[in-house]
Amino acid sequence: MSNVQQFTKVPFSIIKDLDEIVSARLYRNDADVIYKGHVPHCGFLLLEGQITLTISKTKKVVLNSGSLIGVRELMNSDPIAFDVNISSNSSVLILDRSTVDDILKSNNEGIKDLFGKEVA
Amino acid sequence: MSKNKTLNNHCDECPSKGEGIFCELEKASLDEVSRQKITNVFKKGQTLFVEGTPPYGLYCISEGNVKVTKTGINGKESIVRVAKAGDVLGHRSIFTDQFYSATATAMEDTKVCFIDKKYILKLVQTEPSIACNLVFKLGRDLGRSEEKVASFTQKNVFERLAEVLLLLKESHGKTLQDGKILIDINLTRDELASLVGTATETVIRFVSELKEENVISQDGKKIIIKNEEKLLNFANADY
Repeated sequence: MSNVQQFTKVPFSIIKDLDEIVSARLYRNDADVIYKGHVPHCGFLLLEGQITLTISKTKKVVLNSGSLIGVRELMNSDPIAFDVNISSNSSVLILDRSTVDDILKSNNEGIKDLFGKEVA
Repeated sequence: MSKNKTLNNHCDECPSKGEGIFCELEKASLDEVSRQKITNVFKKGQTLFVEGTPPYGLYCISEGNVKVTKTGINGKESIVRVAKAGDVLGHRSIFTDQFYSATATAMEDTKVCFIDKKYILKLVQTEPSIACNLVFKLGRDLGRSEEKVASFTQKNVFERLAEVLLLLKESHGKTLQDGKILIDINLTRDELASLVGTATETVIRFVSELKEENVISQDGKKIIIKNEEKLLNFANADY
């Protein structure tokens, strides 16, 4: 399982480029999107709002804009080490397997490089 | 793409093989779907998706039961339906691209396969059997919704309870050696009341009446239908 400290912060320039490949989506309601021990259905790149990781009942980590979560585990079919909750009114890029596959094939070297390292 | 390291999840080995929308695919295509999908076991109470959030794929239930609920203005939860092994969820939202209109929650430990939206849309274009099965499914869903609306406007609570039990018999019924039918799903009184669309107290009263009439009995949280014909009369329905 991955270490909770290993989050990738995606630079603004890359987020801007990614926005052309995948559209931002709003979470109107708060939702548990990944459960500890599951292979994520998709990764998330937080644009606005808040993502909370619950490592144990008492330990929580709050992620800020630009944080990437779940892509590494998704693409390697690894279980994730924490519960992931997206707060209401947060905006994210949803990075499912097909989208990440497309990103890895894209002509944008910056995006390809970042995601290549993420899933390696 | 690497294989899921946590669960053995080839469609060929699915306990619901033959009941899903992918089951008519040729072996090569099924192998590809098996590589693409993600399989997890959701514990009781964990949500597959939540009302008011964006859709990103299709959920195929391999084992277990999932309740689909909608929350009212007063915050009260109503069960829209119970999905069982072989059923798919999330299909409507991926084609409309609207937010999920309901929440799907595991009612017990439930094995679920997930396929992302982009891949499903590609499959729909290349595999006619998937497109047909999804259209059939959408048609059946629409029919069920219409029946439910009619039931709510035309039937009283007792008739609706009998009808819900008959529908659960269709979806979860197992014939026992003595000819009785076990509804093989653990439903709390609150959940049964929510399915019928009434208060818990009312359902408790009518369940007792059905027991007194020797139409049903209970084995823990599971209901056994002892007299289907009488239940059909009570439901005022033609199944």
